[in-house]
Amino acid sequence: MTNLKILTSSCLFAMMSLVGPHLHAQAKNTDKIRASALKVEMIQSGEIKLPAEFQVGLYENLMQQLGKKASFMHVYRDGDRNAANVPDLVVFHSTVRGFKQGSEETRQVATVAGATSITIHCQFTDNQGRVVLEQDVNGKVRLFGDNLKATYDFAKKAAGVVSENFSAVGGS
Amino acid sequence: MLKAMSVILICGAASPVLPQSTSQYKVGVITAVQLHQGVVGSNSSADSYDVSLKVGDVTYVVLYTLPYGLQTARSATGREFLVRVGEKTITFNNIQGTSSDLPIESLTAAGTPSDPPSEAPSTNPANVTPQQRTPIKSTEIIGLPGVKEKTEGTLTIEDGKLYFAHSGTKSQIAVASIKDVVTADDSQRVIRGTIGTITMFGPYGSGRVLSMFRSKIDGLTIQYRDDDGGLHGVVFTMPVGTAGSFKQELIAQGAHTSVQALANASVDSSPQVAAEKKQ
Repeated sequence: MTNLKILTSSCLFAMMSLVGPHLHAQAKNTDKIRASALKVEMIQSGEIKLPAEFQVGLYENLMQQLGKKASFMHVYRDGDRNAANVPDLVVFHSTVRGFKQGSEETRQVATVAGATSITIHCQFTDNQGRVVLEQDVNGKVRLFGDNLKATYDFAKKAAGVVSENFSAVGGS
Repeated sequence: MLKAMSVILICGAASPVLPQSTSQYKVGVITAVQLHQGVVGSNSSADSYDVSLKVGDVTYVVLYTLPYGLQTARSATGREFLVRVGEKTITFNNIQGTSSDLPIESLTAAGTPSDPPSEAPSTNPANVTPQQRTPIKSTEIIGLPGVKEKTEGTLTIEDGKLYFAHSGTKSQIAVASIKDVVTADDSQRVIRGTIGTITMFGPYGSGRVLSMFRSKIDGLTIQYRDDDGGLHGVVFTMPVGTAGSFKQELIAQGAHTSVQALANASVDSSPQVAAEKKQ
């Protein structure tokens, strides 16, 4: 009798593992903004002095992470002429709001100091220029890795925001 | 019973992971087919071709041997295939569903025109005295299509193109398409990688002492546009003192910059670039 209970509960656990994520994903999809393509504008630093390698690191990491995580049919780069004819295009604008360049050496020697952090205001607009979503996303490196790892951290989080809030037209 | 339960639990735990596995196949378009130079004039029954295959932002040249003759291969231009790009080969499925591995001969980043830069205006100093620099050892940090992050290789400027050669393949960017090139100074740990990370946990603070041994390096950041106008960025690091002259070479061959370096400066000292970039 005890064995039957264990077997039943095991089967239930296995079934929930299979079905649970799908049900959760379906429930989330209903709240998402639908668009077929995303165009990512170059990161603007404004008055904040952002080194060129950070600007490029942020942009390229963002493109990589969006390619992996986001469910858009196409992710266009800044200036891509192919994006002009896409009817339901979402444009991703990003502006640096805060940047503190730390030091890898200090991080490894002092542990608690030398962190690099970047805060970027992410704004998503539709074809008419209406803001459909905006949010601040930050990237940090506290201990391991060089300063550019903060750009990877930002890109992962930003791609997560896109993945949570947008779904492809006709996609799952 | 316990074994059966364990199997069920393991399967249950692993099952959410299974649907996440995605195919790595991408759509590739054949942009050009040329008879492979090594077999010109030979009487081989199976002709070989250099097939240019555009996958995403990268154009790969692969060696393809076809038994049907020249006409069949050339008429393949414009056709699309599902391909999987490996490190040294590209796998594709033919109409019969048979998969073949084709060796990658070279790869080109988007934005690099296939024609030689001889059509550029004669005012370009590169046309007057074509220069070829000694390859500089460098590391591609991020951004070059088709190249993994932190790949070591050599940078060369040749005939109006910037080449990054690594593990038998060459990536190239047309210098004329470079919209901005900026240099910077930096430093890196002498002991890097996995061993470097492990040494951080050395006893009695020895790891911290080791992390203070650092070597200076130069950084070279490039922004360029591809054929469709899309903006790309690449970050390279190279030995200290080489980035400044390399940048000047790029500018001489038609690259643009937002920061004009001082005559004897090895790196840019504008407000856009932090003067101190100790990591």
